[in-house]
Amino acid sequence: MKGRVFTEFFAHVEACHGADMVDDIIEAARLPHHGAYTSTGSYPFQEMVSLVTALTEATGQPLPVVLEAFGTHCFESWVGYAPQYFATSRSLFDVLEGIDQFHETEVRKLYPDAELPSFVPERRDGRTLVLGYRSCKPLAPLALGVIRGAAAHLSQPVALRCEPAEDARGPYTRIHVELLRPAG
Amino acid sequence: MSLDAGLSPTALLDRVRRLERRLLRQNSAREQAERLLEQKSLELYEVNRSLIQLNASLEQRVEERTRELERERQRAEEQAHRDSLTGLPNRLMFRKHMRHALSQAAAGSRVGVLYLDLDGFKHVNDTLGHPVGDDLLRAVARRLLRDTRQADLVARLGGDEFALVQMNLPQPEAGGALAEWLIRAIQEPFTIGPHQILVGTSIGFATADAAGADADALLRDADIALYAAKAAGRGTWRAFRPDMDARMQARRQLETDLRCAMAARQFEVFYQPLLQAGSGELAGFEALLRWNHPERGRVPPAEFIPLAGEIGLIRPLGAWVLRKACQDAAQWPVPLKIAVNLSPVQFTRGQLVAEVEEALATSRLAPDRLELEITESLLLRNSDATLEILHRLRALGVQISMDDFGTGYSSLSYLHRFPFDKIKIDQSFIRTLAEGKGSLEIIRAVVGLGRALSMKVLAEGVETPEQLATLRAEGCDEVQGYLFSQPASLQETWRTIALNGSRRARA
Repeated sequence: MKGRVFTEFFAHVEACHGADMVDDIIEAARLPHHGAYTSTGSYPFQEMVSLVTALTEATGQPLPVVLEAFGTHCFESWVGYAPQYFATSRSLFDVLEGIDQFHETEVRKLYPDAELPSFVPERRDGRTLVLGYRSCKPLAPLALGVIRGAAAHLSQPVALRCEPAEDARGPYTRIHVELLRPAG
Repeated sequence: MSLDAGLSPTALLDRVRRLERRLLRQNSAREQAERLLEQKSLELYEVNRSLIQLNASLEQRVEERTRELERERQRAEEQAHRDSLTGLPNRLMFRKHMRHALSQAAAGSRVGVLYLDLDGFKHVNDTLGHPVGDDLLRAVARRLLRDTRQADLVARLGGDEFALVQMNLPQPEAGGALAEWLIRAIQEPFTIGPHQILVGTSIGFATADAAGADADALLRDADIALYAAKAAGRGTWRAFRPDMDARMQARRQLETDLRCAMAARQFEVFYQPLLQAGSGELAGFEALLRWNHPERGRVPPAEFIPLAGEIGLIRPLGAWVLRKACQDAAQWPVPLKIAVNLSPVQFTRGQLVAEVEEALATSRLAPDRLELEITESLLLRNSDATLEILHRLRALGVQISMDDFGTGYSSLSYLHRFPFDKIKIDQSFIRTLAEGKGSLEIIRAVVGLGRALSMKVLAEGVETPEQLATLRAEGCDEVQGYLFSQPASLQETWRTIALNGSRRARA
């Protein structure tokens, strides 16, 4: 996993829970390198697991909640970085369908060897979008957090639902996004 | 969170430790970032090196490709200069080479051009097909190359025409010698597949001083000389003379005029009387072609008939004469014979019998009044087919005469092969009667032959009363010649017929 995710995570934790919390979860995670991450480096995914686990223990918040909050933070950082993909003039569904493009274009430029998740639209109509979320590090709550962040950014209330799914390439997560208010 | 004096030592210590750890993390992160940066630089350097190498190899490929394209372009250009059939230089290259060679030639040297075409090539193409014709051209090209010096250029100008350039002619005659050599060389049979093919060549030769010579003019002169060689009967060579141009122009003009003559109704059939030798009575007429040229007047048959043969007009002319003669003869008040000459050309393409049939039917002339005269040269070629046609003609009821008897190699053997109705003794024998060189004996023998074989004997070219007397004494059946009448117009024949009729009435 790219160091960028870790540095973002620490920024999120600091913003939500203060700099001391960052020290604490680093200590609790017992990392081999004392938690020094540089954004362009690559680090074992297990370290993120340890850090997230430490945060759930430190805050008492369940894992899905922690991950979702981080997902939303990630989305907000993307908007700052490449606003053209997330203009408020676009519809939520278009923005969500555009995430893969954003990853492949903007993120790969900086982190060519990043293993990025994919959001593949399966079905779409006026009120519902079904996305197939695939990641080698399946963190479905992260994906939900991203979607909620997008919905909030576009002021579009949504209802989300997950279910496990499988196809020729193997298991993945199907996410149902339902607009609670018709698209304006 | 600032370092506040209000903190307890423990809290302070904790604060310091936290700050220390953060600092440590930041430094460590920075060091990692620096290392990654250095690594990236190295990668970049490697990538750059690869790019430079790639660029170099691409440039090399482009260079090679450019060279290859250049080679291909030259090859294509060469192809444009080569005759694809024989591999010889074509006309374009020939002219280029000549111009170049002339510009390089040593001062005072002479250059010669031979222009040749194949005699009888068209016949080969028509009878054996184009693939054989093509192979023949290739074989001719090989033979030409074999027999010329390295320094000479041999080219195929197109069709069955070839040209040679000779640089540094030792003497003008050298060109003639080469022409002779080539004529003999081309006369040797060519073996193409199962065929043994004989063709000949006519050659035109022109020379000039290398300095100041014009390639195109030289080629043109050689072409004119070639035309003269062909006019001289083919299978020979002619060196260009300045007056040839004028003659060739005249001949070309005549050719053109001849082609138009038929449509312009400039031809006329004349008739020369044939008389019974004994009684002097009119036996019939021989039809002879005449051409009334609008400017030149009467053009001698000896001039235009061979030319007509060369440009393929004999067949239509011959058919026309046949029809006209039958038509005219049918109108005569008396059932006189009408003799029409046939050319060997009319025997090819198998339409002759139909033409004769049609002429007879249209004119309603009684077949036994028509006499078809053939010469020996007809029987020389393709005898069986020819004999078959003669028999079919005979079956129509017409009579067949052998013309110019005694002038060929084996007139006698032909008498053996076909039952002619009449033999016409060539005028050369009658003309030389008085010279005592044996003509009399020959005539006597022929008359005897005719009697024995039941063939009428006619003597041509009777010009003096003495000749007539002799011929009568020898028992010749019919006579023809200026003594009696020149060939005359149709109108004249009517007069002759009338005169003859009234004379008979008086006798």
